[in-house]
Amino acid sequence: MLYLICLLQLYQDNGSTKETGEIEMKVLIIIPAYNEAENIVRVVDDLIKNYSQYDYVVINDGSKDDTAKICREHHYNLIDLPINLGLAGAFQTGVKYGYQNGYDAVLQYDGDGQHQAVYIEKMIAAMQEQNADIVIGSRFWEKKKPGGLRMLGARILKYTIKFTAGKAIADPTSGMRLINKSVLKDFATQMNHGPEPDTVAYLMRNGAKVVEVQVEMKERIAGESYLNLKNSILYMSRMLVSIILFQGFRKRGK
Amino acid sequence: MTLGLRIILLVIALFSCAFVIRKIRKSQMRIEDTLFWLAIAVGTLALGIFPQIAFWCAKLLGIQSPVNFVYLVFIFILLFKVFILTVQVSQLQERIKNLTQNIAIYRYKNEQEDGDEKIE
Repeated sequence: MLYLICLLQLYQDNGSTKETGEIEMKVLIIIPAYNEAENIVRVVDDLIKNYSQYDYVVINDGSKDDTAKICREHHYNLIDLPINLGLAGAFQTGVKYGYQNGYDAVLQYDGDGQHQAVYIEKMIAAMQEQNADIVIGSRFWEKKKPGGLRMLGARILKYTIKFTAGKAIADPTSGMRLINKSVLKDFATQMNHGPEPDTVAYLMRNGAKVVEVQVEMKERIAGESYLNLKNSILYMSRMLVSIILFQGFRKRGK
Repeated sequence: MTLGLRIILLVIALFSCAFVIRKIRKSQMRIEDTLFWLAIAVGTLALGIFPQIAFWCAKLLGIQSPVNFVYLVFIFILLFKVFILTVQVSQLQERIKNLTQNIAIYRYKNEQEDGDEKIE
Protein backbone atom coordinates (compact mmCIF):
# COMPACT_ATOMS: atom_id res chain seq x y z
CA MET A 1 0.00 0.00 0.00
CA LEU A 2 2.59 2.57 1.12
CA TYR A 3 4.80 1.38 -1.67
CA LEU A 4 2.05 2.04 -4.14
CA ILE A 5 1.48 5.53 -2.77
CA CYS A 6 5.20 6.28 -3.01
CA LEU A 7 5.27 5.01 -6.56
CA LEU A 8 2.34 7.17 -7.43
CA GLN A 9 3.98 10.15 -5.80
CA LEU A 10 7.15 9.59 -7.83
CA TYR A 11 5.08 9.21 -10.93
CA GLN A 12 3.24 12.43 -10.25
CA ASP A 13 6.42 14.31 -9.34
CA ASN A 14 7.93 13.31 -12.66
CA GLY A 15 4.81 14.43 -14.41
CA SER A 16 4.67 17.78 -12.71
CA THR A 17 8.07 18.76 -14.05
CA LYS A 18 6.54 18.96 -17.49
CA GLU A 19 5.34 22.29 -18.76
CA THR A 20 1.67 21.68 -17.98
CA GLY A 21 2.50 21.48 -14.30
CA GLU A 22 0.05 18.62 -13.80
CA ILE A 23 -0.24 15.44 -15.78
CA GLU A 24 -3.59 14.64 -17.28
CA MET A 25 -5.36 11.89 -15.35
CA LYS A 26 -7.08 9.19 -17.32
CA VAL A 27 -10.44 8.93 -15.59
CA LEU A 28 -13.19 6.39 -16.16
CA ILE A 29 -16.72 7.28 -15.12
CA ILE A 30 -18.59 4.19 -13.99
CA ILE A 31 -22.37 4.38 -14.18
CA PRO A 32 -24.10 1.37 -12.63
CA ALA A 33 -27.66 1.23 -13.94
CA TYR A 34 -30.51 -0.92 -12.71
CA ASN A 35 -33.88 -0.13 -14.30
CA GLU A 36 -32.80 3.37 -15.29
CA ALA A 37 -34.51 3.49 -18.69
CA GLU A 38 -36.09 6.83 -17.83
CA ASN A 39 -32.85 8.45 -16.70
CA ILE A 40 -29.94 6.91 -18.53
CA VAL A 41 -30.17 8.91 -21.78
CA ARG A 42 -30.23 12.24 -19.94
CA VAL A 43 -27.28 11.24 -17.77
CA VAL A 44 -25.05 9.78 -20.48
CA ASP A 45 -25.87 12.36 -23.17
CA ASP A 46 -24.80 15.08 -20.74
CA LEU A 47 -21.46 13.32 -20.23
CA ILE A 48 -20.89 12.75 -23.95
CA LYS A 49 -21.82 16.29 -24.97
CA ASN A 50 -20.26 18.34 -22.22
CA TYR A 51 -17.59 16.18 -20.64
CA SER A 52 -16.06 14.20 -23.48
CA GLN A 53 -12.60 14.47 -21.89
CA TYR A 54 -13.58 11.63 -19.55
CA ASP A 55 -14.24 8.06 -20.61
CA TYR A 56 -17.42 6.53 -19.30
CA VAL A 57 -19.00 3.11 -19.17
CA VAL A 58 -22.55 2.13 -18.28
CA ILE A 59 -22.90 -1.12 -16.35
CA ASN A 60 -26.36 -2.55 -16.92
CA ASP A 61 -27.05 -4.68 -13.85
CA GLY A 62 -29.51 -7.12 -15.40
CA SER A 63 -32.24 -4.48 -15.63
CA LYS A 64 -35.78 -5.71 -16.22
CA ASP A 65 -36.70 -2.62 -18.25
CA ASP A 66 -35.21 -1.37 -21.53
CA THR A 67 -32.00 0.10 -20.08
CA ALA A 68 -29.74 -2.18 -22.13
CA LYS A 69 -31.76 -1.76 -25.32
CA ILE A 70 -31.73 2.02 -25.02
CA CYS A 71 -27.97 2.01 -24.44
CA ARG A 72 -27.38 -0.13 -27.52
CA GLU A 73 -29.62 2.06 -29.68
CA HIS A 74 -27.64 5.11 -28.63
CA HIS A 75 -24.32 3.26 -29.06
CA TYR A 76 -23.24 4.01 -25.50
CA ASN A 77 -20.29 2.20 -23.95
CA LEU A 78 -22.19 -0.59 -22.28
CA ILE A 79 -21.04 -3.52 -20.19
CA ASP A 80 -24.12 -5.69 -19.97
CA LEU A 81 -24.18 -8.04 -16.98
CA PRO A 82 -26.06 -11.26 -17.83
CA ILE A 83 -27.53 -11.49 -14.31
CA ASN A 84 -28.28 -8.97 -11.58
CA LEU A 85 -25.39 -8.56 -9.14
CA GLY A 86 -26.51 -5.59 -7.05
CA LEU A 87 -24.89 -2.16 -6.91
CA ALA A 88 -21.61 -3.36 -5.41
CA GLY A 89 -21.13 -6.09 -8.02
CA ALA A 90 -22.11 -3.81 -10.88
CA PHE A 91 -19.77 -1.04 -9.78
CA GLN A 92 -16.95 -3.53 -9.26
CA THR A 93 -17.36 -4.65 -12.87
CA GLY A 94 -16.50 -1.13 -13.96
CA VAL A 95 -13.60 -0.98 -11.51
CA LYS A 96 -12.23 -4.23 -12.92
CA TYR A 97 -12.47 -2.87 -16.43
CA GLY A 98 -10.76 0.35 -15.37
CA TYR A 99 -8.04 -1.53 -13.52
CA GLN A 100 -7.35 -3.83 -16.48
CA ASN A 101 -7.20 -0.93 -18.92
CA GLY A 102 -4.75 1.31 -17.12
CA TYR A 103 -6.98 4.09 -15.84
CA ASP A 104 -5.52 6.48 -13.26
CA ALA A 105 -8.80 6.83 -11.42
CA VAL A 106 -12.42 5.73 -11.61
CA LEU A 107 -15.48 7.71 -10.61
CA GLN A 108 -18.57 6.17 -9.07
CA TYR A 109 -21.45 8.00 -10.71
CA ASP A 110 -25.20 7.49 -10.33
CA GLY A 111 -27.30 6.47 -13.32
CA ASP A 112 -30.34 8.36 -12.04
CA GLY A 113 -29.13 11.91 -12.58
CA GLN A 114 -28.47 12.82 -8.94
CA HIS A 115 -24.81 13.53 -9.56
CA GLN A 116 -23.59 16.49 -11.56
CA ALA A 117 -20.59 16.09 -13.81
CA VAL A 118 -19.56 19.72 -13.39
CA TYR A 119 -17.90 18.75 -10.08
CA ILE A 120 -15.73 16.00 -11.53
CA GLU A 121 -12.98 18.43 -12.48
CA LYS A 122 -12.88 19.79 -8.94
CA MET A 123 -12.63 16.26 -7.55
CA ILE A 124 -9.79 15.31 -9.89
CA ALA A 125 -7.95 18.51 -9.00
CA ALA A 126 -8.32 17.69 -5.30
CA MET A 127 -6.99 14.19 -5.90
CA GLN A 128 -3.92 15.49 -7.68
CA GLU A 129 -3.20 18.43 -5.40
CA GLN A 130 -3.64 16.56 -2.15
CA ASN A 131 -2.39 13.22 -3.42
CA ALA A 132 -5.57 11.55 -2.22
CA ASP A 133 -6.52 7.92 -2.61
CA ILE A 134 -10.25 8.58 -2.45
CA VAL A 135 -12.09 11.84 -3.11
CA ILE A 136 -15.71 12.01 -1.96
CA GLY A 137 -18.16 14.37 -3.63
CA SER A 138 -19.59 15.61 -0.35
CA ARG A 139 -22.90 17.38 0.13
CA PHE A 140 -21.94 18.55 3.61
CA TRP A 141 -18.29 19.53 3.42
CA GLU A 142 -18.84 23.26 3.57
CA LYS A 143 -22.56 23.22 4.10
CA LYS A 144 -24.35 22.04 7.22
CA LYS A 145 -26.15 18.76 7.29
CA PRO A 146 -29.93 19.05 7.56
CA GLY A 147 -31.61 17.28 10.46
CA GLY A 148 -34.30 14.67 10.17
CA LEU A 149 -34.56 10.94 10.13
CA ARG A 150 -33.06 10.61 6.69
CA MET A 151 -29.80 12.12 7.85
CA LEU A 152 -29.75 10.27 11.17
CA GLY A 153 -28.15 7.22 9.59
CA ALA A 154 -25.49 9.30 7.89
CA ARG A 155 -24.77 11.05 11.18
CA ILE A 156 -24.38 7.76 13.04
CA LEU A 157 -22.01 6.49 10.35
CA LYS A 158 -20.01 9.71 10.43
CA TYR A 159 -19.27 9.44 14.15
CA THR A 160 -18.73 5.69 14.03
CA ILE A 161 -16.12 6.16 11.33
CA LYS A 162 -14.50 8.95 13.32
CA PHE A 163 -14.31 6.62 16.31
CA THR A 164 -12.77 3.63 14.48
CA ALA A 165 -10.78 5.22 11.68
CA GLY A 166 -9.73 8.40 13.45
CA LYS A 167 -11.18 10.91 11.01
CA ALA A 168 -14.76 11.92 10.35
CA ILE A 169 -16.29 11.87 6.89
CA ALA A 170 -18.87 14.64 6.57
CA ASP A 171 -20.90 12.79 3.92
CA PRO A 172 -20.13 9.07 4.21
CA THR A 173 -23.17 7.94 2.22
CA SER A 174 -22.45 10.09 -0.81
CA GLY A 175 -22.37 7.82 -3.84
CA MET A 176 -20.03 10.08 -5.79
CA ARG A 177 -16.51 8.85 -5.15
CA LEU A 178 -13.32 9.21 -7.14
CA ILE A 179 -10.98 6.29 -6.57
CA ASN A 180 -7.28 6.52 -7.30
CA LYS A 181 -5.14 3.90 -8.99
CA SER A 182 -3.41 3.34 -5.64
CA VAL A 183 -6.47 1.56 -4.20
CA LEU A 184 -8.07 0.43 -7.45
CA LYS A 185 -6.74 -3.10 -7.21
CA ASP A 186 -8.37 -3.57 -3.81
CA PHE A 187 -11.72 -2.41 -5.13
CA ALA A 188 -11.34 -4.59 -8.23
CA THR A 189 -10.31 -7.87 -6.66
CA GLN A 190 -10.98 -8.01 -2.92
CA MET A 191 -14.00 -9.45 -1.20
CA ASN A 192 -16.03 -7.01 0.94
CA HIS A 193 -14.80 -3.94 -0.91
CA GLY A 194 -18.15 -2.57 -2.03
CA PRO A 195 -18.52 1.12 -2.86
CA GLU A 196 -19.85 1.93 0.59
CA PRO A 197 -18.78 3.91 3.68
CA ASP A 198 -17.39 0.84 5.43
CA THR A 199 -14.82 0.27 2.69
CA VAL A 200 -13.78 3.93 2.79
CA ALA A 201 -13.42 3.73 6.57
CA TYR A 202 -11.47 0.48 6.35
CA LEU A 203 -9.03 1.85 3.77
CA MET A 204 -8.70 5.09 5.71
CA ARG A 205 -7.75 3.17 8.84
CA ASN A 206 -5.11 1.41 6.75
CA GLY A 207 -3.47 4.62 5.65
CA ALA A 208 -5.47 5.70 2.62
CA LYS A 209 -5.95 9.44 2.27
CA VAL A 210 -9.59 10.43 1.95
CA VAL A 211 -10.49 13.96 0.88
CA GLU A 212 -13.89 15.60 0.53
CA VAL A 213 -14.98 18.18 -2.01
CA GLN A 214 -18.22 20.17 -1.75
CA VAL A 215 -20.74 19.23 -4.44
CA GLU A 216 -24.43 19.74 -5.06
CA MET A 217 -26.75 16.87 -5.81
CA LYS A 218 -30.15 16.84 -7.47
CA GLU A 219 -33.22 14.98 -6.33
CA ARG A 220 -33.90 12.00 -8.51
CA ILE A 221 -36.26 12.93 -11.33
CA ALA A 222 -37.64 9.56 -12.41
CA GLY A 223 -37.56 5.98 -11.20
CA GLU A 224 -37.69 4.91 -7.59
CA SER A 225 -35.12 4.77 -4.85
CA TYR A 226 -34.67 1.42 -3.15
CA LEU A 227 -34.18 3.09 0.22
CA ASN A 228 -37.25 1.81 2.04
CA LEU A 229 -37.36 1.06 5.76
CA LYS A 230 -36.33 -2.58 5.48
CA ASN A 231 -33.39 -1.83 3.21
CA SER A 232 -32.31 1.08 5.39
CA ILE A 233 -32.22 -1.11 8.49
CA LEU A 234 -30.32 -3.85 6.65
CA TYR A 235 -27.91 -1.30 5.23
CA MET A 236 -27.21 0.33 8.59
CA SER A 237 -26.78 -3.03 10.32
CA ARG A 238 -24.33 -4.17 7.70
CA MET A 239 -22.36 -0.91 7.84
CA LEU A 240 -22.18 -0.75 11.62
CA VAL A 241 -21.16 -4.39 12.00
CA SER A 242 -18.52 -3.94 9.33
CA ILE A 243 -17.13 -0.71 10.75
CA ILE A 244 -17.31 -1.47 14.46
CA LEU A 245 -16.78 -5.20 14.67
CA PHE A 246 -14.82 -6.41 11.65
CA GLN A 247 -12.69 -3.45 10.61
CA GLY A 248 -9.86 -4.19 13.00
CA PHE A 249 -9.79 -7.91 12.22
CA ARG A 250 -9.60 -7.69 8.46
CA LYS A 251 -6.37 -8.76 6.80
CA ARG A 252 -4.83 -6.24 4.51
CA GLY A 253 -4.16 -7.31 0.94
CA LYS A 254 -5.84 -10.65 1.38
CA MET B 1 -32.28 -44.21 26.30
CA THR B 2 -35.56 -45.88 25.55
CA LEU B 3 -36.10 -48.48 22.90
CA GLY B 4 -38.16 -45.93 20.98
CA LEU B 5 -35.25 -43.52 20.71
CA ARG B 6 -32.94 -46.33 19.61
CA ILE B 7 -35.36 -47.24 16.85
CA ILE B 8 -35.57 -43.57 15.78
CA LEU B 9 -31.78 -43.43 15.59
CA LEU B 10 -31.69 -46.55 13.43
CA VAL B 11 -34.39 -45.14 11.16
CA ILE B 12 -32.43 -41.87 10.80
CA ALA B 13 -29.32 -43.86 9.85
CA LEU B 14 -31.25 -45.90 7.34
CA PHE B 15 -32.95 -42.88 5.78
CA SER B 16 -29.80 -40.79 5.43
CA CYS B 17 -28.13 -43.72 3.68
CA ALA B 18 -31.12 -44.20 1.40
CA PHE B 19 -31.33 -40.48 0.49
CA VAL B 20 -27.62 -40.29 -0.27
CA ILE B 21 -27.70 -43.40 -2.47
CA ARG B 22 -30.74 -42.06 -4.32
CA LYS B 23 -29.01 -38.74 -5.02
CA ILE B 24 -25.89 -40.51 -6.27
CA ARG B 25 -27.95 -42.80 -8.53
CA LYS B 26 -29.66 -39.80 -10.07
CA SER B 27 -26.34 -37.90 -10.38
CA GLN B 28 -27.60 -35.04 -8.22
CA MET B 29 -24.83 -35.00 -5.63
CA ARG B 30 -21.07 -35.23 -5.68
CA ILE B 31 -19.44 -38.21 -3.94
CA GLU B 32 -17.32 -35.88 -1.77
CA ASP B 33 -20.45 -34.20 -0.41
CA THR B 34 -21.98 -37.52 0.66
CA LEU B 35 -19.22 -38.13 3.21
CA PHE B 36 -20.83 -35.91 5.85
CA TRP B 37 -24.16 -37.74 5.57
CA LEU B 38 -22.55 -41.16 5.58
CA ALA B 39 -20.71 -40.17 8.75
CA ILE B 40 -24.03 -39.09 10.30
CA ALA B 41 -25.51 -42.45 9.29
CA VAL B 42 -22.62 -44.38 10.81
CA GLY B 43 -22.78 -42.29 14.01
CA THR B 44 -26.50 -42.72 14.55
CA LEU B 45 -26.27 -46.40 13.65
CA ALA B 46 -23.56 -46.89 16.26
CA LEU B 47 -25.58 -45.01 18.89
CA GLY B 48 -28.69 -47.01 18.04
CA ILE B 49 -26.95 -50.33 18.31
CA PHE B 50 -24.65 -49.50 21.22
CA PRO B 51 -26.43 -46.97 23.46
CA GLN B 52 -23.66 -47.61 25.99
CA ILE B 53 -21.60 -45.07 24.04
CA ALA B 54 -24.10 -42.33 25.01
CA PHE B 55 -24.13 -43.48 28.65
CA TRP B 56 -20.37 -43.46 28.81
CA CYS B 57 -19.97 -40.02 27.16
CA ALA B 58 -22.76 -38.49 29.27
CA LYS B 59 -21.08 -39.71 32.43
CA LEU B 60 -17.74 -38.40 31.26
CA LEU B 61 -19.15 -34.93 30.56
CA GLY B 62 -21.34 -34.85 33.65
CA ILE B 63 -24.59 -34.77 31.68
CA GLN B 64 -27.41 -36.31 33.69
CA SER B 65 -29.28 -38.12 30.97
CA PRO B 66 -27.64 -39.90 28.03
CA VAL B 67 -30.44 -38.74 25.75
CA ASN B 68 -29.44 -35.12 26.41
CA PHE B 69 -25.98 -36.00 25.26
CA VAL B 70 -27.41 -37.31 21.98
CA TYR B 71 -29.42 -34.08 21.47
CA LEU B 72 -26.42 -31.91 22.30
CA VAL B 73 -24.17 -33.69 19.86
CA PHE B 74 -26.72 -33.47 17.06
CA ILE B 75 -27.40 -29.76 17.65
CA PHE B 76 -23.70 -29.03 17.68
CA ILE B 77 -23.06 -30.96 14.47
CA LEU B 78 -25.99 -29.27 12.70
CA LEU B 79 -24.92 -25.78 13.79
CA PHE B 80 -21.43 -26.49 12.54
CA LYS B 81 -22.75 -27.77 9.23
CA VAL B 82 -24.98 -24.72 8.72
CA PHE B 83 -22.03 -22.45 9.41
CA ILE B 84 -19.90 -24.29 6.86
CA LEU B 85 -22.76 -24.06 4.37
CA THR B 86 -23.04 -20.30 4.89
CA VAL B 87 -19.34 -19.92 4.19
CA GLN B 88 -19.64 -22.04 1.06
CA VAL B 89 -22.64 -20.05 -0.18
CA SER B 90 -20.66 -16.82 0.37
CA GLN B 91 -17.79 -18.17 -1.67
CA LEU B 92 -20.09 -19.46 -4.38
CA GLN B 93 -21.75 -16.05 -4.65
CA GLU B 94 -18.34 -14.43 -4.94
CA ARG B 95 -17.33 -16.85 -7.69
CA ILE B 96 -20.55 -16.37 -9.62
CA LYS B 97 -20.13 -12.62 -9.29
CA ASN B 98 -16.57 -12.77 -10.63
CA LEU B 99 -17.61 -15.01 -13.51
CA THR B 100 -20.50 -12.73 -14.42
CA GLN B 101 -18.25 -9.67 -14.35
CA ASN B 102 -15.58 -11.32 -16.47
CA ILE B 103 -18.10 -12.54 -19.04
CA ALA B 104 -19.60 -9.07 -19.34
CA ILE B 105 -16.19 -7.37 -19.66
CA TYR B 106 -15.04 -9.96 -22.19
CA ARG B 107 -18.15 -9.44 -24.30
CA TYR B 108 -17.74 -5.68 -24.12
CA LYS B 109 -14.14 -5.90 -25.33
CA ASN B 110 -15.20 -8.17 -28.20
CA GLU B 111 -17.91 -5.74 -29.21
CA GLN B 112 -15.41 -2.91 -29.15
CA GLU B 113 -12.98 -4.84 -31.34
CA ASP B 114 -15.74 -5.72 -33.80
CA GLY B 115 -16.72 -2.07 -33.92
CA ASP B 116 -13.11 -1.02 -34.56
CA GLU B 117 -12.80 -3.50 -37.41
CA LYS B 118 -15.92 -2.18 -39.07
CA ILE B 119 -14.62 1.39 -38.93
CA GLU B 120 -11.32 0.32 -40.48
